[in-house]
Amino acid sequence: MSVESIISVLRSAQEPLSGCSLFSGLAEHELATIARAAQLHYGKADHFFFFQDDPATAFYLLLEGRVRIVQSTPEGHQVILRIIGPNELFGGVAFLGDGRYPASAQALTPSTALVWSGEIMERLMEQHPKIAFNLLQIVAHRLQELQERFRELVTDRVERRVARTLLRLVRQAGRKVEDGVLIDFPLSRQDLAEMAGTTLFSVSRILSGWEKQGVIKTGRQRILITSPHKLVTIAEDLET
Amino acid sequence: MESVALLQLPVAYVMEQWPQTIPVFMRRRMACVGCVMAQFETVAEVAAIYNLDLPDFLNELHQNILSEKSECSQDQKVE
Repeated sequence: MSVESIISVLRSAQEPLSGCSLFSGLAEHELATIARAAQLHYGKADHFFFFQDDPATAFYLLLEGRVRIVQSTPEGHQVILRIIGPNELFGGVAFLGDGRYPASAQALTPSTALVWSGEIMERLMEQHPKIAFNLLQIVAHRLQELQERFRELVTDRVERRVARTLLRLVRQAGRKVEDGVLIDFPLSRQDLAEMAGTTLFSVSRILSGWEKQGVIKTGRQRILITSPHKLVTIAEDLET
Repeated sequence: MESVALLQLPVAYVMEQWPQTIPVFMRRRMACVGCVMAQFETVAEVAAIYNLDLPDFLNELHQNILSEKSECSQDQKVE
């Protein structure tokens, strides 16, 4: 990848959910410095970009693919904290935090990321405070999202949580197809359970029910929403 | 704009291009405003979902689109 093409990526990389961009408001020569400091990192499906508890040494911007951020407890439970899509950052919180990655980052599909070492990123932020400000905005959005998910965990019924999880995935990776809206990356029932904070058993029961009602169709690690409106009424607790 | 073209537009697009249509959805207590699925469902599809009287619904959308045409005319790409 040439420096020019990296610059154009940096200029247009806008996080899909928040609309924030780490490098907005920077001049062309500043983007060029940042582009030259970046390395390209490619991973096949299942590849780990980093592991939980590893020293946090780098900062990633995903260009292509899907990466799941997954945390394990000492008892062996797993929680998917987030699924990263193109133009989203990952690894950044660790690098600013206590120096170790609090979760692992694993590619769900073949993925390409730009990587900066923590030292370089720290120097760039000192030289260009706008980057630090942009990052703060991105972190604020993520915090809001986590607060929303926390509220859902505390207050919502499981069925509603699973519906909301699907809607979040649609916002990030939904694609219109002939029979409905497809979540366009491999997603297992276990993944969904780990995102919605419930068990595989509950997810299977809920998805089977929805499939009978014609809300969704499931296939090999794919979920097709055949009645988007019905899913919204479940997620938002609307009257039908 | 022709009714046929309007029927095939995603409702999110309609609300974005002509924000004056938003009250038409709100008045019918439709959940389209701000809904993530609004980018995927067309005017025809939501009319079917909500069992709307189609000519009546289209007519009201048209009226609202035309009512503030001057403000939005620069952005009108769809004929």
